[in-house]
Parts: sequence; structure tokens; C-alpha cells
Amino acid sequence: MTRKKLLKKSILVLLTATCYLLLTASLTLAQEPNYDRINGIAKNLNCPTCAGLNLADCRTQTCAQWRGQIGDLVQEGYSDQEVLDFFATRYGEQVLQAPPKHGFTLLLWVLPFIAILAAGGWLALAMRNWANSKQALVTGSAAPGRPSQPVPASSDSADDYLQQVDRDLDLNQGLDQT
Amino acid sequence: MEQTIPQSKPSAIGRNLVIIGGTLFLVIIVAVMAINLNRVESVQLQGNPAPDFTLPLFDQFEPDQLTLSELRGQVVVINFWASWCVECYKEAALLEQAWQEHRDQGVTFIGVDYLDTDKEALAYLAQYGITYPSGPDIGDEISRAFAITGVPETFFIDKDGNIAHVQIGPITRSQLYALLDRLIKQPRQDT
Repeated sequence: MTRKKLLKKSILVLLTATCYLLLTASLTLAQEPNYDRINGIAKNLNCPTCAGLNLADCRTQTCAQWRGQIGDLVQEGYSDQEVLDFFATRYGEQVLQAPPKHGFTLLLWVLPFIAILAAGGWLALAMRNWANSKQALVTGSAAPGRPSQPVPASSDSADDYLQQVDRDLDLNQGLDQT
Repeated sequence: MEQTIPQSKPSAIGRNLVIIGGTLFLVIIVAVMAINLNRVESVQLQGNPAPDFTLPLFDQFEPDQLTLSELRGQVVVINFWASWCVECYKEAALLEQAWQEHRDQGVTFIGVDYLDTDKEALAYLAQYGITYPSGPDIGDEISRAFAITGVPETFFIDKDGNIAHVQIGPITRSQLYALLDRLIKQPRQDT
């Protein structure tokens, strides 16, 4: 066999081996569960036996089995939402972390926004009233529709106040001297 | 000239919003408390008619599904279990044995698989040699109807379809056989 032929055969064998190895590796990787994706889906599910814990954070046997089931469904080609729908149908909607957006539970989605809007509306009204009453105080006239009460003229009250201050200062000076 | 300090009048709309919001909040709190107080536990069902249900069975059982009301006239033992339930292991073999010994005396055992995965459930059935009809509780419907608080829980239904006894936790041999004997001997009342 000439050197050229030998070289060609070697390259061919090398290429074949490389292709085989790449194919085997990709098949193996394809069968390996994507744990990030499984845990991502599991975070949207409740632990079936422990309160207040999601499926991703739970370390019980039950949760491990359920995560395994998520992995099986993912490998069968289920999308994330399809997996969640499967669990909701199989075990009841209470397994979902987020309440479904229909029926009575729709209220849970809508009420917070209503509460924020109501609070914002109340705050806006309150601030408007404060602004109106402050403006009225500055201009010396009552805001529209608001009653007012009479008070003494400012110059008289200021004089009385200053006189009282003088009296107090004199008294203090007297005490200091003694 | 007299000056007047205007008095600020509380906003009527704002006050109404607070009253409405506060009332709504209180109504919701009371409603939630009422729902929780009315929640029934399984033992409270004793003496009442058993909720009817249709249980889809695992593939190895015939037929595909089983309806409780069709078993009226028989003594029915409904056992709620799960493959992850350690306490269930203690009674699994006993239940199967009791089923084998009493199936010709008008007794039916039913296994309801609670919050379980099919793969592990089938492995559990194989491990303990369970041959009485068993199936998964789809949507948790049957478990909620019977208001179970966990597993294992076993319900003994008399020939008239009433819940004669609720067993929370694993059952002992003497308890199980005594109940079965009593219910088998008890005549049917609703004929």
C-alpha cells in the first residue's frame, strides 16, 4: 500500500471514529435530564405534603418522585405549561404555586390591582384637599365650600406676644441678679 | 379686618373609600374564617352516606373503572394510600390477605392512590402483591370528598352505603377482622 493510500485510509478511520463518538455523546446528552429546566418547572408547583414549600426546594421522597415525573414528561416532549397543566389535572389545582386565572381565583389576581388603584385614588384626593386648604390659608380666604372661623388680627396678637416675651425676660433678669 | 383661617373639611370621597375598603376587608376575613370552621374532617363523616365516586383503575385491573354506588349491598373497604407513605407499608400485606379471605363473603376492597406518581404506585402494588382494585385519585377529587387528612386512612362502608368506621393510620389485624365480621353479619336495611 502506498503512503498516500495509507494516509487516506487513516484519515477516513479517524473521521468515522470522531463521528461515532460525537453521535454517541449527543445521544447521551439528549437523554440526560435538564435539571435546570426541571427545577424551573418544579418552582411553580407546591410540595404535596408540606405546607409553604415549592417542589424544587422540598427534599422529601414525594417531591423527588414528582420531580422525576416532571423529568419524564419533559423527555416526552411536554412544554413547561403542559407539564403544569398535567399536574393540575392529575393532582388538583392546589398543586400550582400561582392560582389559576379563572373562576374564583381570578379575584386573587385582580384584587391587588383594584386595591392599588383605590389607594392611589384616595391619596390623590387627599393631596388635592391638602393643597387646596394650604392655598386658602396663604391667600387668606376660605377654599370653595369650606367654612372658616374668625381669629384676632395678626398685629394685635403679635404685640401681645412680644410684650409677654419682654415680661418674661425681665423676670429672668431679676432672678439672675439675685 | 378680621382674617379667617379656613378649616379643611375631610374628603367625603376619601372617607367613603376607606369605609368601603375596610368593610370589604372584614367581609373577606369573616368569609375565610367561616370556610375554615366549616371544613369537615374524615372522622366526622362516620355514620353518613359515603360520597359516591368513580375511580379509574390502573391498567392491570378489570374493568377500567369502578363506581362505589354500584357496590351497594356489599361491604366496601376503601383504603387511601401512597407509595411514599411509610405507615402504609405496615398494613399493605394485611389488607391484601383480608381481601383474599373475605372476597367471597360480599366484601370488596378498593385502593385509592393519593398524590402519587403512577410509576411508584405500580411498583408499590407489585411489591406488596395488591390484587384488589386500585387506581389513582385524579384531581384529588375522591380524597377531598372523603376529607382525608393524610394517608393511610381506611373507610368501612356498610351494605347500605353508610360509613360505618373511619380508621386513621394503619389498622391492626384484630381491628380489621372484627370490623369485617361485624359488617358482614349486619343485614342490609334499605331493601
